[in-house]
Amino acid sequence: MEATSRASSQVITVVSGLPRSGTSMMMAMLEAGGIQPLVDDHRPADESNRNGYYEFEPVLASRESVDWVPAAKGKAVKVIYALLDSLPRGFEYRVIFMIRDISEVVESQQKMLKRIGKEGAALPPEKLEGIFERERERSLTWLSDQENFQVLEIDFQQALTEPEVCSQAISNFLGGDLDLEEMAKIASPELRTVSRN
Amino acid sequence: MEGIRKNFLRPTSLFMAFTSKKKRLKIDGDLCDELASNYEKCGYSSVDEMAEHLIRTGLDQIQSALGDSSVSEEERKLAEEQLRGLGYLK
Repeated sequence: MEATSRASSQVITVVSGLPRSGTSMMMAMLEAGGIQPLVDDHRPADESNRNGYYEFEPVLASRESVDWVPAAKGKAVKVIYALLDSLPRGFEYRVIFMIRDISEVVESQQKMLKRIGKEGAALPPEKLEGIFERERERSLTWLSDQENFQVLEIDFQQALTEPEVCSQAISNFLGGDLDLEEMAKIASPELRTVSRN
Repeated sequence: MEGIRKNFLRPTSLFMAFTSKKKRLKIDGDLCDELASNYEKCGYSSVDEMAEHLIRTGLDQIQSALGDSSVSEEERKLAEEQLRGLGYLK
């Protein structure tokens, strides 16, 4: 679907959070709701994200360059928590920050690493959980101090069990003009099963 | 044993090692007696070691209850290693 973006042309909608916390699902919800995603095909859909990663490769190198940012105006873009502080001032951001049970996040990360044959941090899961939990808090604290960032926290579990409620909250946050019915169809309990694998 | 106890029972202060520095802490004499009569059966090699461990444990609990959200530089690097492995960071 070539979405005619329903987001303000001056605002950048950012979907953020820890990796494996439902950011791709949220990007899909926004697209279904009528916000055009800023994506490319550098990482195709796979078993870890069957509906695609909804990534834009230049974002991953935001510490080196944020030349991509103007292209995100009026669109939705996925930016993991660790890169939020690379986003330049001078733009208005609406951040949807995904919150998911930290043990589920790390479990899903470990399974994904195994599946793709890569190595992550050489730490036991409980240590990683502690670090990521504090990193998430640090990011949210940082966001709350930024004048050009507005933040909406969305609980992954609630998005699955009450997609209509979450869709309404997201639409209100972004200006109240999204297609709630289409958004709610995206969040399904099956996604949770998939993302745990 | 009696000699060790004397070292800690009479003066109501402890010399404690914090990293490379030693600082003096004053504690209640009765509390010091309790430490001295319990450190061995608790598996500590000295009253100092037991006191330091208990203080550290207590501090950890307090910081946890206060929601200490600090992340060390080393921990941040480890988190980023994980992100790079997952392909979320260049």
